[in-house]
Amino acid sequence: MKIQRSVVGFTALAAGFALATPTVAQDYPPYGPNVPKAHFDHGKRPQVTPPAPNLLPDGRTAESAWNMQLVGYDSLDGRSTYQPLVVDQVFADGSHHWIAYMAHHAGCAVSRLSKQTEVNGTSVLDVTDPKSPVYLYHIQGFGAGSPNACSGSLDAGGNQMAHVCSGDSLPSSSPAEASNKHGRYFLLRTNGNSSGSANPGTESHEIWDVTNPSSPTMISSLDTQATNTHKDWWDCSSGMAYLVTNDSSAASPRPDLAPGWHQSGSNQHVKIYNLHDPTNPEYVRDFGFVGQQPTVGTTIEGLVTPPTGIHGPIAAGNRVYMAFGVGGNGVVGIYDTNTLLNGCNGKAGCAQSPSEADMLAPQKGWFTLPGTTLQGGHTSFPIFGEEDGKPRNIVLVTSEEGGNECAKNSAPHAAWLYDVTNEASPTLISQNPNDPARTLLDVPNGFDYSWIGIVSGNGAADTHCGTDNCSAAGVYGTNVTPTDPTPQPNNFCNQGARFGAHASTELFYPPYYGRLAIVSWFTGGVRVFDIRNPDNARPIAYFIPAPNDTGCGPGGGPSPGPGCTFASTGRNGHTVNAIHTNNVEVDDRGYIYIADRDGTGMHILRLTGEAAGAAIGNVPANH
Amino acid sequence: MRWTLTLILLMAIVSPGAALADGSPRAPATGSDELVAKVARIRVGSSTQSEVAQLLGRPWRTIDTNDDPDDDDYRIWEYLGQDGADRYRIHIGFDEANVVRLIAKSQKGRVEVLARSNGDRDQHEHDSSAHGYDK
Repeated sequence: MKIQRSVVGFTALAAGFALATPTVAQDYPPYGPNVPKAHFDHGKRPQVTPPAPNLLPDGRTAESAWNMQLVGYDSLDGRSTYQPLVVDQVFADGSHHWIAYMAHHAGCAVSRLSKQTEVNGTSVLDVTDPKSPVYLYHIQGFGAGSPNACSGSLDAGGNQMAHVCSGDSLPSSSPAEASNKHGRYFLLRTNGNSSGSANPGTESHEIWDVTNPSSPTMISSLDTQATNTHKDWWDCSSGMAYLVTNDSSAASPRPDLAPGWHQSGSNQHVKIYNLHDPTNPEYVRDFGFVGQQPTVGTTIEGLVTPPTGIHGPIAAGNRVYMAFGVGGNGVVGIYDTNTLLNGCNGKAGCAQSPSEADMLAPQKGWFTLPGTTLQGGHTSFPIFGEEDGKPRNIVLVTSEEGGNECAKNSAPHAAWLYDVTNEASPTLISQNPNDPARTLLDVPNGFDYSWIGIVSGNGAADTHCGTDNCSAAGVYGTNVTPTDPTPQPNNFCNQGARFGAHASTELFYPPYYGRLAIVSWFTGGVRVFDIRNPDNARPIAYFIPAPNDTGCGPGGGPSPGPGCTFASTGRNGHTVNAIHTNNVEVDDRGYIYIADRDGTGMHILRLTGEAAGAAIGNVPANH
Repeated sequence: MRWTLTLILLMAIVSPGAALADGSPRAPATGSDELVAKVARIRVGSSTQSEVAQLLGRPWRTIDTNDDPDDDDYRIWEYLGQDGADRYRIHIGFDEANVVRLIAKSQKGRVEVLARSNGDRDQHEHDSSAHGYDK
């Protein structure tokens, strides 16, 4: 493995070779200079109350849709799924195939292909015809082959994250490298999760050649002996991969080992590698929020010391946005990419153990969230745009609900829009003072779109949340569901699992970029907000799948098991097989993909009605 | 962790004399009486994952979302059973120490909790200042 290099020099070199690439492939996703520009307006569109969901006789939510429609479905063999990713791949014959990479949590299930029990990894499907997904392959996951893989502890398992880059989108440092990568596609995935402070760690990242998605082959691994891998980012235009992970202090010494970083909450910071050549990962540096570096200085920012671990970075243009805290003590940092990637050049030890000055140099701004300690930084998705001919840049931020059935004293986790045009002073926009999380991008737990069981609460005092009175927040009280001491009406907090925001889409595809915010909401399904006027975000669509009580075979058909959706347990032991929409993503055709944490599978959706009208471009027509 | 064992509903059939399974993989579906009888031997609050594996063999499906030691997700093993013409799933939830905390039966979408342990999970009060984990 090579050590840190001059990224600027490399980029210039790579640009030259990119021009020499024989065929210009699709820039997937449209990173770098191809990030579309949003056009915001001042439209005074009415706030509309979404219709109530349909209910099954037993009180669970049934399939429910508002301005959305189910197009296709696959059970994914009943595996718990974290993240969907759909890539427009050009096959050797020139045909386009849309390939879904569904990244699973730890576990085991019977593969429809091998008929054997397989360790959860990455399900690969051809969704070119979204009505009829074709299950191509299951890349088994962490622990596969171990005799106890499916009847022992799997607490360090799972391959929850996936990113794919085209070899023709990645820069190359030589014509030979460009030629070798031409026409190929590479999957970067986490391997294992949450081995905690195990010494040494047992996790890693893997790169697979998925040019033939029916027969992937592993080509390299990196970040071995890691702990706590999570939501990575791979910028296909630069090759830079921002890995969310941590190094065990007892891992075998190697040039990219950087033990001793400090975090509160999740034990994760960022390790940056240049993966322009997936067969030869090049370490760049480690990074995080100031105060997390091994040798701590005097600067104190954020809400806790040491600052909370990162959940996931997103790099676009010359900025990297990093959300810290996950579900509490949330902080979002904004960093200059060039300074981040090149700041350690020529400084001994800086890559693994930067000084405080090295940590602060790339930082352009940071902010906390309304409710401060009660909300976390899970996703921070940048939206670069203009309004009235002037630049206006926004960040969509989500927190993550972590407790089933709306845990007592937890805040309803939501999404926010921040105006970061002035990066040194981010401002909360689309505020709703009547909302427990003070945002228009929220979903009340009542089926009638009212809040049930909210009481006053407070996070820690702070002044960095972009509005006044950062600490005030509503929280769930003692009586929220029908099982509580004072029974409340059935609602989204009575579905066994979590209810609240989790993640937004992260790819920069038109037609939704800067127009719609699409967020997974666990038992609330997927929620879509109209943000064309970012000062007045409003709900515009949602979809809640039906629980799968039938079978885990293709299309939910016959399988060994009677139903895929498994049970979650919430307040007072309430245990229910219900929907648990974990993540959502879009493809370049405009289809929306959701993945279920409780084994229900993958649903392919499209927008209809007013929501489709709010988008532009190649929105799928009726099917 | 302050787990307090509370048996919500004892299994209807208890067969203390039944022999333990040998740990070999099981057929996908198990006869109702046999599976229920074996499940009844699981001690909620003390039986471990390895003991369940010894008793019931390899599960049909396992799930471990385990993002967060502070979250509410059990580590789940599922076994298949047959009740007349209908199949059902036995759902066994383990805590982070791999001790059984929940046994439930799922059939036609309906979940019946057969036994569970009481404890922190029921209080459902989160210390948000410490809750910064999950994924």
